[in-house]
Amino acid sequence: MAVEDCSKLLSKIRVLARLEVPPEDCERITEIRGFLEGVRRAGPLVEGLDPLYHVWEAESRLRDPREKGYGHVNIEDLGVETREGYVRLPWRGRL
Amino acid sequence: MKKRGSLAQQLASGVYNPVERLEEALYLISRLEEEVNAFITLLPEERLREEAREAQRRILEGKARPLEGVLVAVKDNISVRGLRATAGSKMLSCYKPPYNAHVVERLVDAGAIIVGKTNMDEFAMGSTGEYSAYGPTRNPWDMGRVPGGSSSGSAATLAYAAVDLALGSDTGGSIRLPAAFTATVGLKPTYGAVSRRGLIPYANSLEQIGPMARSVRDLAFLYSVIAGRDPLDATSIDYQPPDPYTLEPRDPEAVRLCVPEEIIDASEAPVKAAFEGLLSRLEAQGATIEYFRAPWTSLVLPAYYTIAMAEAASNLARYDGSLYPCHDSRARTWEELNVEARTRLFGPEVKRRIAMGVLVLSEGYRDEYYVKAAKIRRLVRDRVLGIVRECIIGQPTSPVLPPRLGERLGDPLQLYALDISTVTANLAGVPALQLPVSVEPLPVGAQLMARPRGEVDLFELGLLVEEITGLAGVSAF
Repeated sequence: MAVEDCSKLLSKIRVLARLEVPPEDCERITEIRGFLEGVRRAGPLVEGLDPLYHVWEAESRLRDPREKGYGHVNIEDLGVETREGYVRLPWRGRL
Repeated sequence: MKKRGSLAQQLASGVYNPVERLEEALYLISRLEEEVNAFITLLPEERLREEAREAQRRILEGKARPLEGVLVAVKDNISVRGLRATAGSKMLSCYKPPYNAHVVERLVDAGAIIVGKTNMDEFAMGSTGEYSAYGPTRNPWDMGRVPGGSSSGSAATLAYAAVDLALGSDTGGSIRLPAAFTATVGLKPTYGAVSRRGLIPYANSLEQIGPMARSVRDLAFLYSVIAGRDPLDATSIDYQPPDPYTLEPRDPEAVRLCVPEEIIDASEAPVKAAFEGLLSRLEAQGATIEYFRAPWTSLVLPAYYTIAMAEAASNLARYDGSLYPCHDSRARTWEELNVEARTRLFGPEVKRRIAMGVLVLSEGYRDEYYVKAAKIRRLVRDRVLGIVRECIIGQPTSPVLPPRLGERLGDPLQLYALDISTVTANLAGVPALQLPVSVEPLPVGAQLMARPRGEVDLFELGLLVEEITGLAGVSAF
C-alpha cells in the first residue's frame, strides 16, 4: 500500500475508531493488513462452511432459539431475521 | 532453582501455615519485586498479615475453608472490589471496580488471601509482557528475558514464589505462553467453564479466565474453586470441575497423543529437542504417539487476529474519555475529548489493534476479512473436535525460548508469531494445559489439548508428565 493510500486509511481510522494513529505507524499498519489478508488463503478449505460462532451451539444460552427477546440473524446478511443461521445479537435487541 | 512442596498436600495434611508462608512471600517480594515488576498493585503488608493471622486462627479452630490463607495473585483485568483494575492501561489508571468478579467472589468465599493485582500487556494485547503502561515484567528465570504475556505478572510472581496460585486470562495463549516461559502450569479452560463476569473484556468469544500454579495438582485445586456455572454470565455452562484430591496420573499405556507436524516444524531446535525428549520418554513407558498433518495451521494466526481485533475494536469503543476519567483535558467537545483521550491514553499496540479491528468490520472489508476468518474458525473447530474425540493433542506451547527484552517489541508480526501453537484452542473452544518439560538452559513448555469438558484428561496426563520430568513445584527462587 502506497504512503498516500495509508494516509487515507489513517483518516478513515480516525473517523471510525476515534483515535489518531501516527503517520510513522503506516508501515506497521500496512504490514498487519497484509498479515490479516492471510485469511484469503483458506480458499476451498472453507467453501460452504457456516461462519457462525459455533463453540457451544447446542448448549449455550447464546444460541438457544427458544429464548425470547432476541432476534436470530444471519451474520452475512445483518438485518434479515432467519431461523437458519442464528446468532444472538443482544446489543441490537429484537430486530 | 528451587523445588517447593505441593500446596494441595500441605492443605490436605493441615501443615500449611499462612502466617509463615506470608512472611516468606513478603521477604521475596521485598528482594525481587522491584526488578521483576510483577505487580501493579500490592496490598499493604499489615492488611495481609491481619488476613493471614485470621486464616491461621480458622485453621487451628478446625474451620478452614478450601483455600484458607492461600496466597493468590489476580491479573489486573479481573475485578476485585475497591482495588484498582488498570488492565495494564493508562486509560483505567483510576478505575476501582465496585464489585468482585465471579471468580474473585469464589476465591474470597474459599478463604484465599489476595496479595495483589498483577502486571499485564495493556488490555491483554501482547505475548511478551512488554506492552504494559506500568513497565515491562522480567522473567525470574533470566531477568534479561520476557516472561511472556499477556498474564506476565501472574506467571512471574509464581516463578519467584511470591504467591502459590494465580489467576490469568487467556484470549490466544495469554495464560499458556507466560506459563511456558516461566516453567509454571497454566490452563485455558473449556469455553464457558469459568465465568467471565468481572473480566475487563478484550475478545469475548475467545477469552477465558483460568488458573495458574506451580504444579498440576495445585492448579486443579484452584480450578475446582473457580469453575462452574454463573447465572449472570450468559456464556457460562453447566459444568462440574474434576475433584483435585481424587486425580491420579494416567496409565502411560492408556495415553494416545496426537502431534501436529506443522507445529513441530515451526519450533526452534532447543524447543523441539525438549519436546521430543518428552515424547520419547512417554513412548518408552508405553504411550502411543501419532503424528498428523494440520494444513489449516497457516490460517490460524490471521483468522485469530482478525476476530480478536474486530472484537477488541467493539469492546474498547466504550473508552471515550468520559468513563473512568482521571486525567486533565483541554477538550471543548465530547468529540474532541474522545479522540484526545483514546489517542493519548491507549498504547501503540492497542491503537493498532483497534484500528485494524474497525477496518476488518467496515463496509467493503467485512466479507474479505471478518467473514472469512469466521469460516476458518469453523474449519478449525470442526477439525480439532474430530481429533480430540480420539486422542489428546500434544505440542510445544511456544515455538521459541523466552525472547530477550525488547527483541520482538518493534515488530508486531514477530510478536503475533509467538501465538502459533496456542490460538487453536481459543478458536475451537477446547481446554488446553501448559506444563514445563525442561528448565535448562531456559524453560520450555508442552501444551496438551483435549475435548470440551476434558480437563480431567489433561490433569491426569499432566500428572504423568510431571512424574517423568520431575518439575512439579519448581520455581526460580
